[in-house]
Amino acid sequence: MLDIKHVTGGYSPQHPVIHDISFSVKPGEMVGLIGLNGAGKSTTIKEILGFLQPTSGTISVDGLTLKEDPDRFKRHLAYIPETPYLYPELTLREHLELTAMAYSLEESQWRPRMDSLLEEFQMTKRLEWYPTTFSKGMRQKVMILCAFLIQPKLLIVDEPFIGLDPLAIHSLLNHMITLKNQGTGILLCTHVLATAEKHADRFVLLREGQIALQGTLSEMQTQAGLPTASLDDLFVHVAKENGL
Amino acid sequence: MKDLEQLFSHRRKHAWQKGLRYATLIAKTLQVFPLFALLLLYFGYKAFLQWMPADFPASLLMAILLTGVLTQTKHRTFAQPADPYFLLPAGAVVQKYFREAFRYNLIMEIGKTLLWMLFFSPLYLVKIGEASEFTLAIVLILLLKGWNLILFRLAIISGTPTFSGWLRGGSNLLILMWLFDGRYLIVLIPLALIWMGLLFFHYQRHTPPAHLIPWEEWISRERQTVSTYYRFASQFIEVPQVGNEIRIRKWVSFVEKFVPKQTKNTYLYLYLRTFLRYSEPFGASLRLTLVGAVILLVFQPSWLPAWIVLLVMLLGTGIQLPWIRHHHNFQPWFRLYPRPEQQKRTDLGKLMGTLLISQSFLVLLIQPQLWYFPLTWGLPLLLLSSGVAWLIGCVWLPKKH
Repeated sequence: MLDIKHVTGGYSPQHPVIHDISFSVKPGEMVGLIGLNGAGKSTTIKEILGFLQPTSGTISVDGLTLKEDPDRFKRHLAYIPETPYLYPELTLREHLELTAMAYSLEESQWRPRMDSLLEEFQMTKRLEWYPTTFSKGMRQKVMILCAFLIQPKLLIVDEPFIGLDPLAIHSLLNHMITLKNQGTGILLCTHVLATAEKHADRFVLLREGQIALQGTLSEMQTQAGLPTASLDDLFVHVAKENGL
Repeated sequence: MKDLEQLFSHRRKHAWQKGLRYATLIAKTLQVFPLFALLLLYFGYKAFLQWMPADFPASLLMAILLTGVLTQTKHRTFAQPADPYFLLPAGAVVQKYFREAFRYNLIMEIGKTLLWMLFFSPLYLVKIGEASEFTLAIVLILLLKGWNLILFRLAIISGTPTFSGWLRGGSNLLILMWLFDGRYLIVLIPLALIWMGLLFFHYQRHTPPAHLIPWEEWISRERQTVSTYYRFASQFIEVPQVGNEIRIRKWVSFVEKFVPKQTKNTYLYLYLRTFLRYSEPFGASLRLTLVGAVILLVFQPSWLPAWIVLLVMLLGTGIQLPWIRHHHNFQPWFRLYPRPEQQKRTDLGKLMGTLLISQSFLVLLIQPQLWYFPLTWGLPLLLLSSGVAWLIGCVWLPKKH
């Protein structure tokens, strides 16, 4: 699904943030992207989404690069950013309508999906509300609703749990698992290691823009030489190796 | 401490650099528009001077206008909210800072007044007096400006700026009327100087000691001045410091129904709502439409001036509209929608073209001239302005943005 091969990049070619990164997300798989602040997680996501241009390496989704066919590349993916960026001039209903229009969804397809999502995330009553009246959690829910409305082949989620109430976190995880079971590949970037350990199939642990450990939990335990370590222990181990 | 001593010049330099950056950005946006406005002003002023009848009260008009120029005084200090805390121990330096601020404002205010005098010089020389009298008038007016600035500053320190404004305004008007009347100047000058001196001593007597600085007042005035500049700049370019508020205009929401909810209209759907629901550029477009319509309605100009008014209105509106697209440039979804990149531009062109054509129709259809002289005035203007509106909205602006 998502293939990243030897990608180096960042905000300027002279000072790359990520160096020679390679990993993949297969259909029906959840991969946890973890690392300290400044390790290069957000840069990696920006490179995948095309917000930054890699100085070397290739990024493909379903075998297609952004350059080859930008529309088809983008059609396959949905993104839930850490900071909820909404259109202040649109109501919740209009956010969902716009998403459906942009992704060429049939009304018969998205309308029932929208109703069920609104119900699940307790936003039905707020359909005609503008984002200025939303709390941070509600704004985050709008991003989540739009991403789930698309039912993408690849879902990229950046720190989705911040600001959400426990019920919304539960619904979000349930939906992510459902999507995963339906074949969606998910790249989950988070600092909530316990949740990542519980739900992700594989992990990519970044340190100073490079991959420090990669694989399933047991593969990473072997790589680190800590056979009984939890994801949290591995994270601390990698951070300390870094001299922190 | 050396840095602190240069604090005022450092802030002044920084403010000017920022101002110049904004001016450059605005100039880039406006293109030939300022030149066009200057030409319009030049020809308008010339026509006004030629039209002026012999009994026109030019002295009174000039006295009233210059009263505004003299009374409307600015005193910038570049004071920052943190200053009362960080500059508290540096008493002597702060005194020097405010002396420098006063010198700076004196130069700025004199410069501004000279520019106004330059602008008024044709009116004075045509209607009021000769060059030697005008030179004397300039000297007295600059003296008045300096006095206004001193009094304004003292009034702020003593906490009575509003009353001082009225007092200064009244004094300015009387002195200027007498000055432009030209009679008994030998009496006016000593009398004016005595009156100015009396007011100065009155204010100075009631001013608190120099170490008691009205920080809050200076900071608030500085904030207001900067906000005014930002608001002005935001008429032309996007200024992050100025919040463009959402204003739901239900009375115009019926327009949204004209855009079907289809994939090919994705960006148009968004752009239309952005235009209708933000306070600007909708507000500016509406104001320009009203001003254009009123100018045509009141002056009922012939074909060519009417066409110039329409062109200025269309350009003035058009140059503000690309904001609708730029405003979304950093919205992640806007960058991720699986739609051709070109559609962002074509949809903007569709919206801008429709808005500008509708604007020219709205302005012209309410003109009685259109109905009285449809073939010589109305239809040619309607066709030409619609064509130019289409060119600006659908061709020129989308190409640039």
